[in-house]
Amino acid sequence: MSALTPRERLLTALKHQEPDRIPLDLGGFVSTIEAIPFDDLKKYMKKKWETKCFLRDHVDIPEELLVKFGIDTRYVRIKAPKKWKKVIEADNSYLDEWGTRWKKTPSSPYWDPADFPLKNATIDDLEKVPWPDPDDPGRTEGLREEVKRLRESTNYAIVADGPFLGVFEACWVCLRGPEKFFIDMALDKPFVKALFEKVIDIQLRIMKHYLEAVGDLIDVMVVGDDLGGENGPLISPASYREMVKPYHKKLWSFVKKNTNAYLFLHSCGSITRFIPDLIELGIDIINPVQVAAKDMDSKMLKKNFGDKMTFWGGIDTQKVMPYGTPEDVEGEVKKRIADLAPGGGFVLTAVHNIQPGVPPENILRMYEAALKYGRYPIRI
Amino acid sequence: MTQWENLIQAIQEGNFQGTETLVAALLQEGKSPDDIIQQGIVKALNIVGKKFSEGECFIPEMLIAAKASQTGLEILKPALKKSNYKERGTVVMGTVQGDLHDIGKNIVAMTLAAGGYRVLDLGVDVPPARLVETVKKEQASILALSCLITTTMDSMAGTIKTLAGAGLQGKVKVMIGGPPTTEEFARKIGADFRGKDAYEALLQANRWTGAVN
Repeated sequence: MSALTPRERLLTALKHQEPDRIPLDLGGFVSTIEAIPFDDLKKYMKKKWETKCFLRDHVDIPEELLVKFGIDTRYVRIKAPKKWKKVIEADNSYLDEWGTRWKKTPSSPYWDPADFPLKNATIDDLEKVPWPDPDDPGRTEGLREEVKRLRESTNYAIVADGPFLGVFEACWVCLRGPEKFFIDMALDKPFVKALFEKVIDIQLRIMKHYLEAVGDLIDVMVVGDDLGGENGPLISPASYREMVKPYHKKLWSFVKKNTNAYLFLHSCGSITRFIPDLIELGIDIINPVQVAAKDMDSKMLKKNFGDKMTFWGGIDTQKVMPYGTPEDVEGEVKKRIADLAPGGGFVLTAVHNIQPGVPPENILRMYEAALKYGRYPIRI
Repeated sequence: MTQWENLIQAIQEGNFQGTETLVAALLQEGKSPDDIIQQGIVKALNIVGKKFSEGECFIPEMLIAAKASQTGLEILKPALKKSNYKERGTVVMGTVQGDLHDIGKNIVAMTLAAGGYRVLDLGVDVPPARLVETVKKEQASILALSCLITTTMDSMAGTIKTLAGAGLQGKVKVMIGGPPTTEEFARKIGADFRGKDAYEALLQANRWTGAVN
């Protein structure tokens, strides 16, 4: 097959057909490189690129590197609201626009939620919370023009990065705190429902503005909600269906009605038991395909769900990328290609962001191997 | 159903009031606090812990059982004091320096406390020196360390080094847990045990203290 444009390549794969080669991804909120390993990579490659970050320490990958790696995607993302400014305090923490305090300790490379605005809230308190303004114009100011320029002047596949955490994750990770919220899931369902209603209303309005700006210009729309941990689901499938799924349906069906873009769900961990529900809700793509988690064998996933679901991710970042040799990385790439690529429906990237401690040689070898072994028909 | 079975069910369901009522009733009937802990609370936690390990129940169910156990223990406290009840051992625990994550650790803390241990939970981002000082001061027999992120695994190694520097390695048992940890890592840093979850932590603590599992 003659070379396709990056956009054609990705869309072919998403249609579950085999393009010229496997599409490659790098640079999204859940598929970029963190600042520390990016600095290591720069040093190794003797490049003087600026380490420009978005969100926290997520690197905006320089165009030169995206071209070198053969990356087919380019990301667009919602902007910060005008009413909120990131103010880092003396203890190296800041409040986000939802009121969650994020902190980076001296010996951690990560910002983590350290305090939760709704940790002591009652159901009545939810009416008095200073919720973010979903109509803040700062989020989409100038966005349409930028995305239009990208669409018209390049032939890359345009991916709209997720504008917020999923409703479930937002509540337990950021707003209420994990211990309180998981107990609420079991013992205070009216509170959980009331909180979900508040959050989803705000999220729907933010999404409305986002899609009004970019919905007709994008190829993929990212949403997220971590449903799994290392050893299994975070909550029972029955709980998911009863309590979370109705809100996923609200948001995701809204997205589907307001853009023709493919719907990409980021959900970490062991999520196999939820996949039939995700297919039912119209998810086209799952990411990051955490292959080291329980019941996430890539061969099994392709066999059971490959006709309906695109797998986006797959290169192990828990053992192979940080601790393997470049030859181990090449082996990992070959294995995941063999398992996931036949028939299309596979986009290769690391399982989540490349973390501190990943040797630069491994990052380079991952993408080199992807190009070397990723031509269709796959011959591994 | 017997009162024991009712208590086990109440704990599993996270029925805090039911747990308190049943524990009080069993005390009233003359059952010993130690029996109530072993035949009721620990049995319930073992059932839930096993189900959790096998993927039949999940974080909410583990948490509510652990919390219900705590409420039962509160009712038992005066009786435990009166009967000169000897806890099985003192456990000092914490999430290691640099790490702010605690939900797994909290479940382990509640489970060990319900299982008859005196648990001193020092919270998150705990420097090695503080963990070791507390072990020394409280004459703990077990040090339990948790981390969630790979980069703070060094803090686990550092804590064990500090323990060795204080002359306590070998005298205090060390258990570690958290997703990035492995048995191989435990061996490498000189920890005595790596637990997958709260259930395994309790079983191992019981093995060390000679308690029945």
